[in-house]
Amino acid sequence: MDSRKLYNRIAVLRSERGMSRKELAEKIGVNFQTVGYLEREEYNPSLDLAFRIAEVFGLPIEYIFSISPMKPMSEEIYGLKK
Amino acid sequence: MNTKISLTNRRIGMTLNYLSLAAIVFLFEFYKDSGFPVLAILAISGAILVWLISFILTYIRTQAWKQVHRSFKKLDEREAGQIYESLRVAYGIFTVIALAVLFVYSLTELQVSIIVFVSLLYLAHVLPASFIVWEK
Repeated sequence: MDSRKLYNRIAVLRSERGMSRKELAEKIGVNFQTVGYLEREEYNPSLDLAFRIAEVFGLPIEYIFSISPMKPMSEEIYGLKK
Repeated sequence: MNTKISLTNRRIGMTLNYLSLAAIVFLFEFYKDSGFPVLAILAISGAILVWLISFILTYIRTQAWKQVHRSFKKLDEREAGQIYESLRVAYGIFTVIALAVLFVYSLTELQVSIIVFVSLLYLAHVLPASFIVWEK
């Protein structure tokens, strides 16, 4: 079965927190190359890994992953303010 | 996997590795009954050298060999999925090659030599790594 493409904000969230790929990889227990695959949206994580990522960033899972392309964070924040 | 070696170079290395292996087997099988003239020994030595260099550059330096031989417990979920897929494809290819070799040998009523046996053993180990090397 072909799985749907999952979009995510991992790259933005990681750089916001000044975290290297290696640091994030250690925190979520994967190889640092897997973080690259996740950021390029070339690999869909398991539910367990998605939750671990959400825990590291302290955000709800639906804020990090989506089945539709995600708006830039600045646009979403501006929308909330309005 | 170490991806500092470009995809094209990895694919060239892999092709050279298989071609040199085929050359080693062919030359050995061709000359085994008639003795090994100097030219044949030189050709076999050259093929072994190409095989060894291409093996080191394609499978050792890229860590593809290490990755497919690592314990499943030490792999993350993406790597485990990748290795599972590589083993699945390699199993299919190896079965076809091994059966074809056995079929040809049974038709020609020849004995399977130690070189063919070792080559098949090498192939069984290198095919999953080849899948990793060939893919991005």
